[in-house]
Amino acid sequence: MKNKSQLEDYDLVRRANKGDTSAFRQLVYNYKDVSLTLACSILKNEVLAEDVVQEVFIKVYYKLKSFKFNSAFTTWLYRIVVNTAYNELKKRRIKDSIDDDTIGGPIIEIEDKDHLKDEDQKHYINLALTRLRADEALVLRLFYLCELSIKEIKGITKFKPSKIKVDLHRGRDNLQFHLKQLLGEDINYLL
Amino acid sequence: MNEDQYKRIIKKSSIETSEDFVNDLMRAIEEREHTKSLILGRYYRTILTICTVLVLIMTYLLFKVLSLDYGTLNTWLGNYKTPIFMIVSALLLYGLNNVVKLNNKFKSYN
Repeated sequence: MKNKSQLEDYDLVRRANKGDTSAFRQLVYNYKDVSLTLACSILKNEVLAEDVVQEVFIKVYYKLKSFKFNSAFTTWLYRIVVNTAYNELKKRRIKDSIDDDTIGGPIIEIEDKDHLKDEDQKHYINLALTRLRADEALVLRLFYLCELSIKEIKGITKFKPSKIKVDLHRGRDNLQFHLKQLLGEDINYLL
Repeated sequence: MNEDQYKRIIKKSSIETSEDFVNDLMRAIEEREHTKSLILGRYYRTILTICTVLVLIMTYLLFKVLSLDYGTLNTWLGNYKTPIFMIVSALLLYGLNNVVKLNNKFKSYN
């Protein structure tokens, strides 16, 4: 059973395949932010991740005709995002794990603790996620941000279900640990 | 933290692309299309010349083969020589025409 957004995606893909540039633009517009967030989970660098996402959408533009309508467009797209980002990571030899001196860094003092703005919250959450291993951050975001099942995550990442479960478990623990490191007891403002 | 709290926190972590992302992307795609057409445009004359020479060689060889005497085969082929020759020549010309059409298509992108 296909849901409404999936059917809308299919319609956009069909129109884009017929040469409708506005349909392709709409597809990019709908998924550019999620794609960037996923790429950032792996690359830990927003500027580099944006370049990778641009490369991804160029690939999508040329490969769109090969898309078979037997899976969700998002599954197909996220698979390209994840593969391209991991390839870029390999190419640039960026260390998968973070440097030891960045783990458990100093607790940042927040001046106005009663009013932790949305932007500040986002900043600290992303900082904590940057400190996770790429696989953990990716699986956490696919599970909670994209609301995908373990089976769907397996389809995108090609990780074993057991690894996905372990990454989810460790990712949750490590996220909480790093948020506590960054915010101390003020972590409660995020909840 | 419970599941809902993790979900709420990670939902807040969404990162947005730069404002011009879509326009930059479309521009990059247009540039690639343009480069592709330039490559074909540059080699168009060479490709067309090679194809024309090949068509002429193939036509000559085909004419020669069909003119030879193969005994029984020749008797069987005898009535069909002209149609075979015409069909093969038409196919070769159709291929050549496609090269010309492809070039015109890429020219229209520019």
